[in-house]
Amino acid sequence: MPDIPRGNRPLSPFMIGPYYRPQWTSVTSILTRITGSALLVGAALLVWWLVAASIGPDAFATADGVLRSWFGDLVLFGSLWALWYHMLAGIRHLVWSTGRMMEIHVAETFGKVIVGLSVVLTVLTVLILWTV
Amino acid sequence: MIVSSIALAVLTPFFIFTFGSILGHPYEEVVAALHNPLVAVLFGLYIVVGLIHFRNGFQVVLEDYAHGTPRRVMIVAMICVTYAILALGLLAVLRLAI
Repeated sequence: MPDIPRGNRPLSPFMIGPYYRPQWTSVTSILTRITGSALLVGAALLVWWLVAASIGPDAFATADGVLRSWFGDLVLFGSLWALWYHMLAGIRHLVWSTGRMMEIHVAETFGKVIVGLSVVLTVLTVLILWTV
Repeated sequence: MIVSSIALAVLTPFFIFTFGSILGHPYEEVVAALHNPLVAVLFGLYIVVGLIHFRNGFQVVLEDYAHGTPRRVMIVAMICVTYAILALGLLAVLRLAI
């Protein structure tokens, strides 16, 4: 095989960071997929809890115990953020479908806004549900 | 996806705060809360529309990342799991409502 001069250039995964800057647009797009897919775990947990409640007190105690354990808290808190984030990202897609806010710098700002807003909504939800 | 996303954008805030205020209460109170027709309809709608939205969205994900026979097998398996969760959830909500 002939020796092809490849130079001293960095290759694929090592590009991220010093050579390739991740954009808010691409990262928020990937996050939409990740949150949407991961929400199946929260949905399964919710349905298990409902099925258990429909069966009786003993079954409910088991499911309710898992949902209110540290593991359940972790999944539910993650699902709460994922729901808010995925909903905001979906609304962003509806706005884009009308042809608005498509300019690169506007879309970048839009990405920052939905990430920030999803965190604010998550914290607010926890605070409201905690106090009520 | 557009139709279900609009429906879910409306339903999600209602669902989050309704479920959030029911979770944490003892069994009798949870059952009583889910006996309320408005709560039952909200939960039933959210489970049906949410899981149909998931089924369509996750199919696109699989179509992007998997190919050939694995793609077909994974899509069929994913649809079976999603519809099973949907059916179980809907049955539970109905049993608690009536």
